[in-house]
Amino acid sequence: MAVMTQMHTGPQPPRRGTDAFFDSIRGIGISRSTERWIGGVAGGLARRLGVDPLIVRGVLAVSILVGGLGLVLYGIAWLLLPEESDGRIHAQQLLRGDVDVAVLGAGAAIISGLSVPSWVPWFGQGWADWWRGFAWLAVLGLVVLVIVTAARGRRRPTPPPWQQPGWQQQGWHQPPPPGAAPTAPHPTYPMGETMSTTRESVADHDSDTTATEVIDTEATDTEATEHDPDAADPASTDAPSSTGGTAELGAAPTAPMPPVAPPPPGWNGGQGWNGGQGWNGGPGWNGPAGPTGPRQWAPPPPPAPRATRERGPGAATWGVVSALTLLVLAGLLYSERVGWYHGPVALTTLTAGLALLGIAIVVTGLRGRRAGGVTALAVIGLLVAMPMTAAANWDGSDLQWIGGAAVGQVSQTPTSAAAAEDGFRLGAGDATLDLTDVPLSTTTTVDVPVRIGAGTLTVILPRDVSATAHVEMGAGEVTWLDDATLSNAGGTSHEFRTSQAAAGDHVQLALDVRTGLGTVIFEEGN
Amino acid sequence: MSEQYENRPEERETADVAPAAPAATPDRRPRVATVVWGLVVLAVALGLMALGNGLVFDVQLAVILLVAGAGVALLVGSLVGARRRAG
Repeated sequence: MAVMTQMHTGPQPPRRGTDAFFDSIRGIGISRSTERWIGGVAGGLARRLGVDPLIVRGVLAVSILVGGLGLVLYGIAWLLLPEESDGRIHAQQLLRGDVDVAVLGAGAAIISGLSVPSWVPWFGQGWADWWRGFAWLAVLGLVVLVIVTAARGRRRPTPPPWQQPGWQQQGWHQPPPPGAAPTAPHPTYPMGETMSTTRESVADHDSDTTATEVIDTEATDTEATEHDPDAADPASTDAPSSTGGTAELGAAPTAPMPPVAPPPPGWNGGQGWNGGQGWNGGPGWNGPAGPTGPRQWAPPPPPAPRATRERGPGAATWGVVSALTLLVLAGLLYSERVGWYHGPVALTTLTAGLALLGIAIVVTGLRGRRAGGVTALAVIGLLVAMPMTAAANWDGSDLQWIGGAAVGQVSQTPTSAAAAEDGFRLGAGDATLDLTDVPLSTTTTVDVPVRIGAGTLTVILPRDVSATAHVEMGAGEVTWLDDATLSNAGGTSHEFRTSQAAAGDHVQLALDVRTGLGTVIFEEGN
Repeated sequence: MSEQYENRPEERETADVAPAAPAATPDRRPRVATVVWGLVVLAVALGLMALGNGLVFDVQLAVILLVAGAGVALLVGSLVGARRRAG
């Protein structure tokens, strides 16, 4: 019973204005799948669209590759879409002071999405800057919100996950079954009576009565003030004394409920708080349905015994890690502003936070405690930081697209040294860069930067040119002219030179090729 | 005075002996796996930070060393822990 009581405390937090918004999101019908790689967004979307999740994940991967927008949207969806199993929405939980580690994962996804170099201008260049600044502010606000709510949530333990059966059926997904409504359209129980008469005998009644215990005093105050006018209106003055909690004991409902009868679905009956009129909305909860006045606040039942838990890292650990990470972010932002630092701020902040998490895990382990949530957060952070690191090494945002396209089978034949020196880039695909038409002199060097995200790059060099190539690859193969193919992985780099360059001739063409994943082939033209 | 006398035995039983002994003794022993995992996270984070800020090093070799180091640390830690428990 104790466990049940605990579990049943979840679904009855006070309804706020924002809850209608979250309910409308649930109405979209996309939930985060339990078969997930990260947040379950792709799986849920695929189910809604009726396609293979791999397709959605592939599209997502490409969208990340070409600008990070997909990652931002993924993070937002992670925050806003309901969990398939129990309907939780992280953002909604956040507003209630319940911080899930996944919130930080979603935030990290958004941050990293914003920091992926914008290969594709999302809204045009000026817009992109504006948008990024705004998004950064939003992200900062989110971080502050997480920390503040985390601090609040620690003082006042928040409801556990909403696992209880019937939550989905009665809570928000479906209207309550008509037969389940009480005979009298009375959405509110005289809680005191219910508690005193049926507490031991009916489990569900127990859940109803415990509903009041999770409502924090602040919310209670709000509710009370909101409904004082209601209590005084004629509809509710049927009750002898509708403002006092204990007075409700005497105010029997118009149709007496037998003590053993199951309660109506939802915790205040057919006019459930999913009905559009939240239960703290005006007419919803004691208007048409509540002849005896608003539900009164029962005296809080004794707190349920808490299960003994494995000791975790502790609030101080979280606080220190969060605080230091924020300080790092602030320091980096300032350093960037005054020109001391030119590196990737988001990535460095994230990795610094990860390093702090690592230290926190070490300390937690040395104290003989389980790392728990810190580990989960570290894993998410690492998963985000790795692609971010790859993206940070991408310096091709001012280069021109090969063939004018970010993705696809493209080719380009630059005809001037200036065009070649502007450099080339490709998000993903199969690109051919023909340099045979670039006019070369014997006194100057044409430097050609080339950046490929993933795919195959074929570079056609003029015949008998004195050329060098610096090739950096995440993983893949590189073939230099007639030499053997070199396979490599893990960020290795290679230097190549044609026989003329090797012989000491003036280097006419210097290529700087960097690819994430794929194949680079150098050929000699005609 | 009499109150103190009455309360003392209870205090000793509940506060000093009962909760402290079982809770603290097994809990205080460092968890090797947690510590090693934390070190791995720390190393990877620092490596990613270095890479992201333009430091070039052999990532492949670094990963090999990291895995080997974690393995050795786990092995040593487990053996030391087992010996301490046995002894």
